[in-house]
Amino acid sequence: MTECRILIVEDEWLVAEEHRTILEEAGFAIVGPAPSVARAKKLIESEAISAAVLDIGLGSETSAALIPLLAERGIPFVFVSGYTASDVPEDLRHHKMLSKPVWAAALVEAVRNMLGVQPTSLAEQQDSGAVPTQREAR
Amino acid sequence: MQKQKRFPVVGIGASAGGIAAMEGFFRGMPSSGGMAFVVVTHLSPERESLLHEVIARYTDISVRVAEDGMEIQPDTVYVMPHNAILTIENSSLKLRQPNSVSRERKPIDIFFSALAEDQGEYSVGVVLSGGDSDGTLGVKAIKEHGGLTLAQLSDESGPINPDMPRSAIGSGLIDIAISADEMGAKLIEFARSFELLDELEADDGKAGALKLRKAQGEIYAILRSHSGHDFSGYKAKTFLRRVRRRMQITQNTAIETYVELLRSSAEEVRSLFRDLLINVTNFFRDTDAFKTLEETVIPKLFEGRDANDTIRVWVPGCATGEEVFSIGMLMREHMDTLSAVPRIQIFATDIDDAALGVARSARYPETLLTGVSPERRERFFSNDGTSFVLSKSVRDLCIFSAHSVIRDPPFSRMDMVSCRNLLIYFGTDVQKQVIPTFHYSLKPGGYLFLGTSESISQHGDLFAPVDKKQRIFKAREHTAPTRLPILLNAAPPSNFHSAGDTRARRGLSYSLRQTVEAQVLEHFAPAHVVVNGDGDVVYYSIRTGKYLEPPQGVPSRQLLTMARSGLRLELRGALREAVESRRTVTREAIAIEEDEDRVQFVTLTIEPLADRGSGEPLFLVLFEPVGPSQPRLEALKRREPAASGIADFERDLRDTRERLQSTIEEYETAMEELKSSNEELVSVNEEAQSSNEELEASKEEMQSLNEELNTINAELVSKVEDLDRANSDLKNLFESTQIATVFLDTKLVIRSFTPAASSFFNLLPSDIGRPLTDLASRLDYPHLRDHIAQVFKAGEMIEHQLPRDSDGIHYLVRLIPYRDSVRKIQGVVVTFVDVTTIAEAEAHQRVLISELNHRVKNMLAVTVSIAGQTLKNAPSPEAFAEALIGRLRAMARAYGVLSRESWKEASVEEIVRQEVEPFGLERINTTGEDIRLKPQQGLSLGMVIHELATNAAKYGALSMPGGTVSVTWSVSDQGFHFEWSESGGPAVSPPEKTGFGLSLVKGEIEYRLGGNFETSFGSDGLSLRIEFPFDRRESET
Repeated sequence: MTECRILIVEDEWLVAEEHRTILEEAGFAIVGPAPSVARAKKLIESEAISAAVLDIGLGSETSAALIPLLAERGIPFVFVSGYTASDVPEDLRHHKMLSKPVWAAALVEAVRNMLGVQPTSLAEQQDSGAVPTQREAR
Repeated sequence: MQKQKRFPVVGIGASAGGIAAMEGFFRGMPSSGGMAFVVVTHLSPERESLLHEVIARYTDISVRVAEDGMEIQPDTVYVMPHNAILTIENSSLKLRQPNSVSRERKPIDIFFSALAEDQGEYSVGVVLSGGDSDGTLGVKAIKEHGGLTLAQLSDESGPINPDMPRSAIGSGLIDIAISADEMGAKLIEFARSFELLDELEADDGKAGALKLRKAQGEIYAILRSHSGHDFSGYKAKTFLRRVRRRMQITQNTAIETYVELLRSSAEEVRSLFRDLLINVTNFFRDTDAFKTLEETVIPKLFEGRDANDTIRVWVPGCATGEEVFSIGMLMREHMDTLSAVPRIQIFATDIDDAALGVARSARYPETLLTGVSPERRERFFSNDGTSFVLSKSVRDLCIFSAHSVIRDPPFSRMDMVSCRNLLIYFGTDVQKQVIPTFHYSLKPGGYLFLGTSESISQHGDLFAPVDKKQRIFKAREHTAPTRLPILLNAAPPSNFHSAGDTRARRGLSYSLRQTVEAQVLEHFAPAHVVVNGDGDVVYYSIRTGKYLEPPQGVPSRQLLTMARSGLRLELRGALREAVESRRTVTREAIAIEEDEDRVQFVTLTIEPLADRGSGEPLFLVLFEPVGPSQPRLEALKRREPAASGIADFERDLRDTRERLQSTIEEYETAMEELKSSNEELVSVNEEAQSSNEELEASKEEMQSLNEELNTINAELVSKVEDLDRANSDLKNLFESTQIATVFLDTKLVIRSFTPAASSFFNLLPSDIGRPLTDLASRLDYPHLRDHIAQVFKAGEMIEHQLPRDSDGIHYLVRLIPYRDSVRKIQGVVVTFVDVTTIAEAEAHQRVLISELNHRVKNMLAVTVSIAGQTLKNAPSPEAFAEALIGRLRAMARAYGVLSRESWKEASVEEIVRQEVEPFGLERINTTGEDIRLKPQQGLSLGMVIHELATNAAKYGALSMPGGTVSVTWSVSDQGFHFEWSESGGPAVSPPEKTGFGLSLVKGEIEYRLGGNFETSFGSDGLSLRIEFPFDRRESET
């Protein structure tokens, strides 16, 4: 398996560290983490990225600004947020979303799904509804 | 009949609640009052009574159960046994079996009536507590017979059931109304007064009688001055009986003291006056008499009358109206059988105003209707629950007025006079005067209806009997105009000798002397007649035919109309002279023209007759012929023999006499005419009087009607005021609520609306009456009609929130059923409430909840991360727990500071103080200005300080005694500066591996806040400088 590089965008350092630990333990390489839209954009432009894990609220900004950039490059992404689906802005609702605090296995599963890796049994325990395909995400 | 001394017999009637009343009665009754008591109660026929035992408990008087034939003894109580009807006859009790078919419900009435009959003025009726009206009629009977009546007065101690005594008191027939306890004393006094009065009368018959007569005169005078009514014509015995009863009631034993009382107390005069006038009448009293009246008289009254005629009936002494209304009912019944109904006027008069008041109201308790048949009751009375009210059809026939048959001018042109049981109260003088009065009142052929114990006495010439037994008479016809009889008060009563005196004078050697006298009278006495003051002949001698001849027309007793020609003139003058002077008058040589042209000279003597005590002066008229009768010419010659020339004078004189005669006759005719005119005037006056009565009655009715109307009007005015106020309140409410409200009626037409609605829909007052469709078009509410229909159907309110309109305002529409006073739905009330603020608040709340959710989840994520990181670095579970809890506490403290400031800002000083406080504030010097950080900055700084402080306590300056920390902060253009500097601690060096504490400082400051930090590990401790971007102004806004 080629190295998969995962971008983490998360303003809370402690949470970012948590996500990094989880994904690194699952064998992914991490890009970032980036605490702001500006840092994230820079990373997207400069790094090779296989997929992204995005927090929605970044201080006063939101990661929605990154979607066109990611879409342009065909980088799949998943949201990890404290907001429930009904509270996120309507244009983001159809994207795949994990609820904070995230369950390690669920995060790994979501990332694997994005990368087209066969889902493990863990995926069935996921709690946040139907998983939209990448096609739909676009 | 009664050998032993008489004593009062007290009948005691009681029913429900009577035991308590009787207890009171007998407790107040001494054991030797000299009276007998008979207790009559309403008892169930099935239950044996123990009443006598109960009564014996309260009194020392011997108590016995009544037995048939038991003679009444004083100081004994007789108790009616159960299942029996008790009466009394000849002072002995009589028991009989009650009628098993119709149980008699009035044992008290039955006994009291028998007691009254038997004991007369010694009868006493006591009505105690009870639930019926039993006793009322009995009391009436006792009162009628001169007995004493008492009833228990309603006060705080009873009676328990006041209906029975109240009914008796209401009839006006109760002498004394007091509480049961006080009755004993009254009765004792009553009994004693009998003894004293008896003694008084027995004492000195003659002197007593004289005294009594004197007192009687005085009482007449007092009564006359108070009431204007003269009772001197009343039967002396009846009068004295009433007076004596008043004396007993007022506890006066001497007639003189009673007269004194009368003088000083107008109240007592009134009581006596009322007692004297007592007359107990009933509807259809004497059934047979009324039946005869109905069958014989009343149809005759209506005979030949049509609608233009009036039938006039006079009922003098009508009292409380029962007799009047009885006649009225008969008349009304007969009227219904006729096609042409004449007008009926029944004039009912009495001198007792109180009684007339009762009669006018025409309302009677059921007990007084015993004489009325059920059919008549049904037809003429309406029961209003407590009493029976006579129907208007009968009441309107009757006119009531105050009038004295003795004193006032009588009514006239009557078709019938009904005067029942009034004459019995009058003495013969008054009777003699009243009966001609009735004759005067009646039209010829009119009917007089008297009571069964009354008669027309010697006035057979005025009235012819129609039914002797029932005392119905018909007025005889007279052509000679009847004169209005002299009224008793108009002429002073003449003094008269008692009839006994004349009889005594005539009494001796009656047979011989009278025979002689009669013979002399027959053969030798001149012809004579006896006339009264009016010239009516009351006695003729034999052979008066020479001087008198029957006049033309109806027989007359008038002397002057009978006198032969030539005699009349002299007779008239002489009679007048004799009446006026009361002396003998003689006229000599009066020429009387006999038949065949002969003349008889006569000496006329008129002499007042010795008064025979009848009160009416009589005159003896003697005709003495002088010589034999002569031919006319001879007679004339004889009178004037010598003078032939005188013949001319004679002729002149004769002519003059004839002229005089004709003048006199003209004068007499004129007099007659005047009299009849006067008659008419009297009638007209009487008509006017009765009209006036009617007017007054109407006026009274109008007044009371007016008062009622006034009251109603006042109520209405206050209601209108209330309405005005309510209206104005509503108007103000509508204006103040700012809630657009529209009222729709059942056809969905706008009925009214509030000012708020007018601006809301641009409604104008002219829109009232327009259909709802106009309004609906301005609303985004397609279901409005359906919803309104639903409200009508279900009768329940419907709420509907309109979508936000163009101005961003939310409206809540309420459709409320409009109900009238009987809760029927008469329309719909549509209100529009502006709920924008609520909608906005709801939205805001949603945002807040979502934010809270977010924060909680974020914090949990952070917590999970801290736990994981701490675990990685922990040497032991205990150390892990300690470190984790410490960090969570630090977070909690920082959150505490933030939440105090409502998540707006965080004071640096406070954060610092909170975090270092557990390690001892005295060892930590804090210096810095008052800076307020953003919430995230505050949180991060708090966690950083916690890590520094725990580190210092474990390994740094705070682990050594005397070690201190200096904390300083400031703000510059570059941002926020913070320095942690330890001194007095052990020497420190940079760690080989970065611990969690330092990682956190790095992560929070560099990663999270985009700042930087710098550490230096000196010989006496760690020092650390932090910087991160901070804009003071941004923070402050």
